[in-house]
Amino acid sequence: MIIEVLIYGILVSIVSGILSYFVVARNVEFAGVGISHAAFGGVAIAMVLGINPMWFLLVFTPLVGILIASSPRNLSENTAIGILFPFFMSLGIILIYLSQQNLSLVWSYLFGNIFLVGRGDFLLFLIVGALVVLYVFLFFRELVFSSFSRELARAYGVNTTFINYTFMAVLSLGIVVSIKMLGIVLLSAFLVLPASISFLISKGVGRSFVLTIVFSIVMSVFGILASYWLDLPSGASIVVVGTAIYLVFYLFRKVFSGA
Amino acid sequence: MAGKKVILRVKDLSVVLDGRKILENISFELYEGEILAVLGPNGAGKSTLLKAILGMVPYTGEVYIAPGYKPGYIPQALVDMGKLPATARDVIVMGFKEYSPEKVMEAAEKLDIKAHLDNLFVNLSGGLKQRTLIAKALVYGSKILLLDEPTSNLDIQSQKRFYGILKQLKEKDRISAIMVSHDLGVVSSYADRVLCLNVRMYYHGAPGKELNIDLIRKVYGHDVGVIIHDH
Repeated sequence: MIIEVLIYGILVSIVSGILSYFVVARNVEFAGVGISHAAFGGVAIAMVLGINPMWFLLVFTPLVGILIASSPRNLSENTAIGILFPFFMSLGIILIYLSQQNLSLVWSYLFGNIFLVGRGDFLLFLIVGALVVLYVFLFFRELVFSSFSRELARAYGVNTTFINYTFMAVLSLGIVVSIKMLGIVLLSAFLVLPASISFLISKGVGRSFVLTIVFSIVMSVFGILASYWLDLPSGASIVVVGTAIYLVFYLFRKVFSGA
Repeated sequence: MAGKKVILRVKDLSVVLDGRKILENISFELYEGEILAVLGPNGAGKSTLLKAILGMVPYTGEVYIAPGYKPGYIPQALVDMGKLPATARDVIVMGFKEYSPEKVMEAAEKLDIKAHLDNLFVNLSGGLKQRTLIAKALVYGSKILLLDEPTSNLDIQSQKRFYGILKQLKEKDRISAIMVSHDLGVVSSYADRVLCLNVRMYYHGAPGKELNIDLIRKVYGHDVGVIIHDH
């Protein structure tokens, strides 16, 4: 059982590590928070309609991601997220309250539990995870360049609008298939912590990319083991381990380099 | 300029953004190995002109770039820089499918940034950042540099160094440049020709007698003071 969970955890952390790299590099951490929380509204709508929430989220969350990416020029992405995030959260709460839904199911989406992930979820993750990896493989150069500076990338012929929209859609898909493991509330930490730790200590695009995935796996494995041995909630354990790693490297850097 | 090769031609270029006229009927040519300075007040459309040449903003009119003369863009500052821990070397090759490491070293040598290639770009001084972006343009194969106020964030020493490098690139490598500037003294010393604009074009020619205080006042508005100094 634990081996299966660890394998799933490692695979999810590879996908979320890749996404984390670009989320932090592109300064769209808040978009990760917004999309994952907006997904709560999607879960509630699916429950009320009697549809499998995961299937519904696969359509609903990319639409939210594209909506954020298409925010008009006079409305910043952060403002759009700041409006959509509480709206969908509130919509979810109202729908669940009115429909008297099973709260334990809602709880599992909010906080996740990797030990309760079924075969169907695993298969869905494999398909979507492969799609995320394929997308990053195909557009790695454009993603890196537009993460560094959209203006410069455009000047050198990169279609930054296409990259922005597709990245938000792919990020949304990655978020959906990671919800079962980490939950809506804690997922944003998984999108921010691995790259934040890596960027603290690494230099160079290639090296920092690899280290982001390594830290994502380390967080996940030690979090799952802590959860298993100490009988703690899995998502929360992973986030606590990740935050502890971040603090260690942050203090280490502060003490030894003064940065 | 008979006999000189035209490598970029702009004809009747107009740009309207959000209903506002930014540029109106701009026409000029750029010759091989020439430095063309673009003068004008803030909001005159100077940066937009560079962006129109690069196809980054919608425009009407014509922009012709001779085959093999790819433009390379060097912005005033990278204001939208994300948190990527990219080194100067990463920035130089970023976005390029193919590049030769020898070309990177050659460009780094020309721009005198070899010792900084493995440093984080974000930690480099303004002058080094600029030279890194010029090296990027050279590795890209650019023969035309589009420089947006290249010295506005540099100290005097770095400014001198920058113009020295630009002069060398022009003389040794036949590199051409369109350089947005505010500094009339620099323009007189380094530019072969000048384009004065404030939405529309006021002057296009050599930085000689015609580029006088009356013309500058007309372009910048009547309350402008002009101090001529040596570089």
